[in-house]
Amino acid sequence: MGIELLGVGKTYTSQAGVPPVRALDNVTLSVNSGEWLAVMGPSGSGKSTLVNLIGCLDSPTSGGIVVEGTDVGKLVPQALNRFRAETIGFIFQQFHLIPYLTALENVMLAQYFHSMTNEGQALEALQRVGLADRAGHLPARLSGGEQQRVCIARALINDPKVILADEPTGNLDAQNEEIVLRLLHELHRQGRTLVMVTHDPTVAQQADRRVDLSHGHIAAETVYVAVGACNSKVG
Amino acid sequence: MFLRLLISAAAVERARTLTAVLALTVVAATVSALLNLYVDVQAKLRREFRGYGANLVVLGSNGQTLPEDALERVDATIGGRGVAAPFAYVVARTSDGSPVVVAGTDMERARKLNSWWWVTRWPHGSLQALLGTRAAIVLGADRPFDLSFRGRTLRLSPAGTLQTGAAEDSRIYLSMHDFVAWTSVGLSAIEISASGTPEEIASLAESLAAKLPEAEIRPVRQLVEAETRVLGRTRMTFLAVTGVIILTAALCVLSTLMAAVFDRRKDFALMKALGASEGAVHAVVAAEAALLGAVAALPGYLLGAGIAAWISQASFHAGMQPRLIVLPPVLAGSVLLAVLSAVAPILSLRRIQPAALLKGE
Repeated sequence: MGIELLGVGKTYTSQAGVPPVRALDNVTLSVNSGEWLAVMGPSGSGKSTLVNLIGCLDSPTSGGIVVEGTDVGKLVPQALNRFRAETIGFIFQQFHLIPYLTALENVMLAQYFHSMTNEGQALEALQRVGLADRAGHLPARLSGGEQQRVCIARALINDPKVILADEPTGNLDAQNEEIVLRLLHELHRQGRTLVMVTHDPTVAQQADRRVDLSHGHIAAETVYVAVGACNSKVG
Repeated sequence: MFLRLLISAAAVERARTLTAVLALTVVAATVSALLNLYVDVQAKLRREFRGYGANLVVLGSNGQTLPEDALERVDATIGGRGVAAPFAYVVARTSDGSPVVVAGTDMERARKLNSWWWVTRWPHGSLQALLGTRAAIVLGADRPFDLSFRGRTLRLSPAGTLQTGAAEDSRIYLSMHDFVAWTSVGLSAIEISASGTPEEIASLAESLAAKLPEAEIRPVRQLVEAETRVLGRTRMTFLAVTGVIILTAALCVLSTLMAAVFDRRKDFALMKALGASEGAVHAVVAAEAALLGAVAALPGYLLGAGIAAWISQASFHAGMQPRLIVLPPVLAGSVLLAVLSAVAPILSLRRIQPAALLKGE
């Protein structure tokens, strides 16, 4: 189970005359169920593209992707939406909360597009990230750290097996970064599969494993063990 | 949740919401005014036309007088759909020997039939006369005068003068009772002002011809044709103005919704990322538009009813009660226009790529 990428390529074509951009080139990668994988690399290396492909927000130009035993390339759009709602939770660097909905309503929105809303469950999710007392606040009245915690509560509400986090601590100060990482650890302990894009090696070290992308290829893979790290280069 | 989403979005985008609601209110007001007036104006215009006199004339065949019970038969045929006035004419002579046309009529009926006549004072008693303005100049409108017909002289007192700008200005009108007693001449014509469509008037003429086979029924074609033309043009003008207003408002709503969708494209991308289908996202925009249309309908209906009442007062000097039956079509029209205006913004949602809009950095 977990996530399997087999020879995945993604090429972006724009208007005529401009050469296509190859964001990912023949990437093969396995993420075990319950594993926490950190993805690092410079800007434009293909990190976000990788996460978008795993999250079924985009489709590969070549290769295949299997998430939790489902070949997502074979799903029709309607089934893909359902699969995404049921299997994947997203945590974004810029939070992407709906500005005119309260923290509670933002969490309930994910429930609404999944199945049915349940205010009690949504409040419980906010409680888990320590924001029960801010449930009625609009995002503009929450700090960056609080907004990210609402985003985590929203990602959790439908109990997904896979959490995709794109720079989850990128916009946070040290204190909020620590809170968010603690929450990610908790998700990991619960047995969820985490794929986290980050620029910060310290944050990456929290994961079980790290892959470094460069020009659309996996340039290096680092496996962290209980304490410290065991590095191994991949060709 | 769906309703919360719609209301919250509308509340936060107050300026845009207000713009769209105002545009839709204008449409709703126009449709409301149009529908309120549409039926009412036709009735009022027909009533106005009826004030301009007869649209049917009953005459004796070959210059003969009409039978004595002709008026009763005409009244029975037209029922409550109009008014009929009897007329009898002779040429009499004034005391200086000048010829003058004298008409006998039922003053009450003539007054109802020709409400457009400009009369200073209608006769109320016996041997009182209504003088056309030109006849009054000849006879003098301030003292009694004599008229003779076939050797019989009649002294009359002027009650008031009449001005129409037509042949009536040269005539003298008496009560039918005084006229018959003096001249022994019977009924020459019955003028009828009947309400109804041109088809209904034609049908009434046929009925009259059947009831009065010894008479000739003549429609006053100029009036009937003018009435048809004016009603047709009024209807076309209403529809054209409404069409232009609806088109303008639709473009305003379209641009407002387009801008709103563009500004909120990340929200819609997020909804897709959370598992919303294309249909679910489209439904959000369509429902928002429908909500705006529904909110605009009631003030639009009331405003339109006010405009209709004002037009009615200004044009026909008669008030008009708002018709509640107009509200459902106004509501449906307003919602429909809003949803139709949302079609292009909805189609633009298909181009939204969550992957491109939600990525970090």
